[in-house]
Amino acid sequence: MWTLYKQEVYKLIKKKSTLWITAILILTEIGAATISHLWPKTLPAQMMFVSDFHSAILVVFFSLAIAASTITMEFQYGTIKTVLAQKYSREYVLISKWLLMLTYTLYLYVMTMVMALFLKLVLVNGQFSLVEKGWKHQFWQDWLAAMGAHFITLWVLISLVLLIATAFKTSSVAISVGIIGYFVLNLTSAALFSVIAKYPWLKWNPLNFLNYDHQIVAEEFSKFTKLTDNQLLLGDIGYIALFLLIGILIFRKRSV
Amino acid sequence: MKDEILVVKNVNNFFGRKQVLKNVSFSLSSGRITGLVGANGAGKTTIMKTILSLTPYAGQIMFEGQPSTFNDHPLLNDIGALIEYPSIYPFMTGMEHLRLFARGKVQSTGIQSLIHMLNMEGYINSAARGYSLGMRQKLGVAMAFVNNPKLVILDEPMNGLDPQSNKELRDLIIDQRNRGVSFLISSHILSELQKLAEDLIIVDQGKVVRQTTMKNLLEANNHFIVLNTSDDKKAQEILIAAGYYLVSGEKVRIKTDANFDIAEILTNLISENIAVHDVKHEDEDLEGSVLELLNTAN
Repeated sequence: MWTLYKQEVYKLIKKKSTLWITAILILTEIGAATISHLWPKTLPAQMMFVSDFHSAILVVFFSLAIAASTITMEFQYGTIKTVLAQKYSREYVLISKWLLMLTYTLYLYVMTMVMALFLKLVLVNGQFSLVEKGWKHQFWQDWLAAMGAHFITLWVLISLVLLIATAFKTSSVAISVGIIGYFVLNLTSAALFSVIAKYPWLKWNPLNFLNYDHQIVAEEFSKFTKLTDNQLLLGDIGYIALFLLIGILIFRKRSV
Repeated sequence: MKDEILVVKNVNNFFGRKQVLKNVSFSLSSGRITGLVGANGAGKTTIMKTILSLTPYAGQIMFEGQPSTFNDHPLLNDIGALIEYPSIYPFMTGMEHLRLFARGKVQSTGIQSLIHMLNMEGYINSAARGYSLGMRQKLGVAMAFVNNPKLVILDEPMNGLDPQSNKELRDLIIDQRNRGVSFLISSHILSELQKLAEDLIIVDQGKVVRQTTMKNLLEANNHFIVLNTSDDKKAQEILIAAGYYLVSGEKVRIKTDANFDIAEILTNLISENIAVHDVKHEDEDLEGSVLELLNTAN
């Protein structure tokens, strides 16, 4: 298992895109923080900081793309035969890829958050304080909670993308579903909430659970989702487990 | 018969409703090179994939006496393989591929030795996206050997190799065989396989038609005596009249068996004043034997 995980990390490090993604995220944060520094009234630093200076949405896109390709590239290059022709079970092969994604997404979040803190101190330190009142607690606590919720919500999408990549073996389908899923929620949330208001049992559908990161930031969302923060958290974890489990069931019998 | 390293017993395999392997049974002797021969679609690659647990199957596979199943196959730790075409990550160099799959710290000297034996020094540190078919094939072969396996499975390993590379691969296989490594090799280039394989498994339409040794198969082949005489046409008439079976053509080509007597043939001709300038022996090759066997099976 450890060997498989090391192999996955090795492959990720050798991809040029891994370096580029880090560079793009850092440059995006520097750019957004600089704009906020120059035009604080147009783009308030505190609002920008909550989304790690606009890097959070890029982290979603990059994570979904890497999640899809970590599985589909093996089929595309035929390397799945070499990976599977080792002594390890198929479950371990797939779990090592999940662990890679967990490591990679944690890296992206920690890296962008540390960078956001650094840019706050260097460029926009005077505009707000981390210990001032946030929307629930102190601002830094709310920021960490928002990032945590964003991470969990992203993982619902990642688990779905990993499932689709395992089932269809093509990156484009998997990435499309993940990104469309992300946007569809924002575009159709009004319609979704009105349907939930009419049929309360629909609040358990997975799209509603993608509102967790919104609800953490804006408490009034619970009126529409009809779920508490804890229900959303546990539901997200449940859906992540379900999607990953279905992926294993498909993968364990696949002929390559 | 030496110890059996791999035993395959009553293995069946389906692609959807189509049965592609039908009660396949055979065994591989330890430290020997076994050729897997058959027409396209006969099931050679599927047999190899089944041993490697790349495709689900029903039946029994034992490696060094230990059972192996689709989901539990520790035997693969001791098997190296190249199946269909080399599996290459284009963004990595050849060296990085070898390091990726090499186990343990003792591998670095082994990797260098493989690179040297396959003459890959010139490009092993370049990105694999720029490799030619032959370079990829060599890298795939090197990856199969990288963990000092006890059994190596090679599916069409000569694909895309030039004559020099072919020889390097042949030398590597023989060197490893001499160190006790067992091989299962499929190839369409039967003349190459004839130079390597000691045992043979011949498959047709998902079944094992025959398991034999190369020596036995070739010994059972047709043998010919080809004569160069002062009057080939007359010599043909004399020999046919004497009861010999001649292959039609301009040359005096006599089909013989193991008990033929060259002196008797020469006496027949000399007594009729035909001078014999040259005598050659010809044996049917592996290709002829396999084709004949497959035709008989059908």
